Amino acid sequence: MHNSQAPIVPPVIVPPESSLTVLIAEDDPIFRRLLQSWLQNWGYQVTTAENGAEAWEILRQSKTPDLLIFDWMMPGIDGLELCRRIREKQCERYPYVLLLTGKDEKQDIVNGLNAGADDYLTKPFDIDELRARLRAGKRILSLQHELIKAREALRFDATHDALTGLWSRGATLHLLGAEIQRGSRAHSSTGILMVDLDHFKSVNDTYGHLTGDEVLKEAAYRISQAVRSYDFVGRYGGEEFIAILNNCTLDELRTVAERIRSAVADVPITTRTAAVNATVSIGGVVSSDQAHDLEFLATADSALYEAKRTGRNRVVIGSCQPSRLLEAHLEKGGMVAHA
Amino acid sequence: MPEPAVIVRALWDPADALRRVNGSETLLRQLIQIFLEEAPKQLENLQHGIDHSDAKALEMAAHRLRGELNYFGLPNAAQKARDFERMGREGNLQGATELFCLFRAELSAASKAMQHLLATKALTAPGA
Repeated sequence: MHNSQAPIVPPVIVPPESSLTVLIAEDDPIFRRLLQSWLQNWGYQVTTAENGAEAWEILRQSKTPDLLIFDWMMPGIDGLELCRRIREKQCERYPYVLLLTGKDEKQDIVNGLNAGADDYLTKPFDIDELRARLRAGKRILSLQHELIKAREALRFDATHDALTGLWSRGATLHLLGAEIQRGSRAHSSTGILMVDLDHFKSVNDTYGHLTGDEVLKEAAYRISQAVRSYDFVGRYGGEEFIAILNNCTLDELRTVAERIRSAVADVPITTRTAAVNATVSIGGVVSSDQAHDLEFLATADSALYEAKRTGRNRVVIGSCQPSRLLEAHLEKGGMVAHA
Repeated sequence: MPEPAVIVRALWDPADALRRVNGSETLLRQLIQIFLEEAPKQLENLQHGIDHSDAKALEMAAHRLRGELNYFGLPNAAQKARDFERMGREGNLQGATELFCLFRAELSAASKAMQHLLATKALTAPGA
């Protein structure tokens, strides 16, 4: 991972067309074999099911394939019922459903399309027709692929800081709330570190804002490398970062905090204009269960203030017994303090 | 007495079936193999449906056989399967037993033709 790149890359949701996955649900072994053989020859990744119930089990347990080919008439769960179920299921991607039917009455076709099929093919089908209809399905899936990519890019932009690629302030606060709740349910501690670049204003004043941005990016990269792989790092404000450490003891919090501090301080940050000696002050806190996220932030912020006050380039861990403190605070008629 | 190959051709022209599988002899052989294993089971289901007046079972078995027979290019047998399918759907099994005798004989002849073809080296070779 390079420091100028966003540390979190949006996931690729749809595989390339050449490796489209297909589920064939067909109780007739001849047509099942035939479809499997042709589709494999055309480069699809094929899974087969001998009846509707088996197909439904596969759909329930694994990632929904890109293309679904259902025979209409199957004992038990038929193709029509599978169509209805798959459309009710919440799928990340829209699967394209092709219904195979021996029926060719107009009303049957209408029923099939109404149940959620995208297209149908009457048996005994022709190889060229099948291939053409699959190509039509692929076109729809490709369009969907593009839309999902665009949506994921927007989602990434909305939740990440454009300069550093770290989680944005809003996303960080959301993650903090979620992590504290999760930790509370699991009776595990959540750690938080507030990391602030020391004398950052003077970097901007001395070298200019472009250099300041380079320093921020490199510091962000070093912080994200210093935490554990499953921790979250966000940009909280101008030169302030937050690391959220789930399932974290006080010792682990100290260790990670010290690792961050030395990662930034030990090696000067090389920019296009100068090598900048940057340091960070860090305030940390570990909560037990029943923590309140705002109070939690306030405690970390106080510890950070203490680290600044006592000389910078250092770590201060605050103590937090949230539930008791909060209760005492509220009993006195106080408000919850904001960071 | 005509040659076996002539009898086979009179019953069933494999060229039609081969065209449907895009000329793949290997695939056609596999499909015939499956048909020869499956058809007796479906025939049994069909008979069970008739004997026990189980219209749904009759319809399902006939439906499957109809698709397969159509696919292999056996339109006469496929038409009989379609008749069974209709009987099952409508719940009226009148005449089913008589039709079954004809159907079974036709299916048996078709199976023999297929077995003969499987035994030949090339499906489309002259005299096959």
